[in-house]
Amino acid sequence: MFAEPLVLLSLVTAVIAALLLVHYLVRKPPFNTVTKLLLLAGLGVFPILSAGSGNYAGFEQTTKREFCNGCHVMRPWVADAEDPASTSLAALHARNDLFGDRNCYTCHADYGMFGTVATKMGGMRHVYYYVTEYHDWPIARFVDEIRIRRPFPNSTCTHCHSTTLPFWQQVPDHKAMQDTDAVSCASKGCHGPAHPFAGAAR
Amino acid sequence: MIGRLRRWLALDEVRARRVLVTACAMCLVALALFMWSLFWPTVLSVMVAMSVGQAIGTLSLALYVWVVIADLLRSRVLGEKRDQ
Repeated sequence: MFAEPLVLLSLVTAVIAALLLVHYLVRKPPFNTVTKLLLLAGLGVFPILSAGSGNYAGFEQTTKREFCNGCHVMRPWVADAEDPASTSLAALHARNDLFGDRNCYTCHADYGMFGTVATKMGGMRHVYYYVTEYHDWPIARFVDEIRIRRPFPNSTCTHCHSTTLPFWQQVPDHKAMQDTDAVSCASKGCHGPAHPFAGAAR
Repeated sequence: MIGRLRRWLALDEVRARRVLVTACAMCLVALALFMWSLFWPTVLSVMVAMSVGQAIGTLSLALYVWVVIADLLRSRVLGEKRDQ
């Protein structure tokens, strides 16, 4: 973790700020120009640097599979993605270096200009429902009842998979999904389901 | 209006010191919350650090700015000048 520059920057700036603040609290020097500058550094400059780099590092953490697994109801999905013997779409992608330990986020993130914000707002909705409804559900009930909120967009797949290669265009079923989400790449019988217990969107 | 604002912002030295001590303590709490989310990045810690931590840290900086403004008012750098 310390190898990550942002984490290190956040830690170092937080320690410097804390030392300056503790120094003021212990010594209580007169409020002269030097003290003002030290407190500006301790209350403003270093905490802002620490918060900025820490928030970014925290945001990066939220894109990891380990973070998704923080809510117990996600364990079956994560267990499948981490299973080296699993042939589900999620597991196959998790074994790809481009997805790796961020495979949940890479496939479920919205793309485009405001994609990151939209994804995080969706994540907040997850947290809200988890706290207010799902927290006490047994995992078996969650596996049976939970569904993806809206159909999985094909644009997420075509973000990486080219639709212009002759080999791809020769598959008749692919014509049905061009320019429309009427047929999902991840539907059963095509390339899905993405997870062994994935149901259709509500 | 400006006079009322000046009176509202005014702090004597004892109160200014108390406000600064409060600001320092609040900032230390905010830093602790940042570190919590950094080293134990769970849903709760990240959300608390990015909301409560940010709010406490921002408020502590605002308190510092208040004390500086009050100090400048006390020393007449801001506001009415003393008669020469």
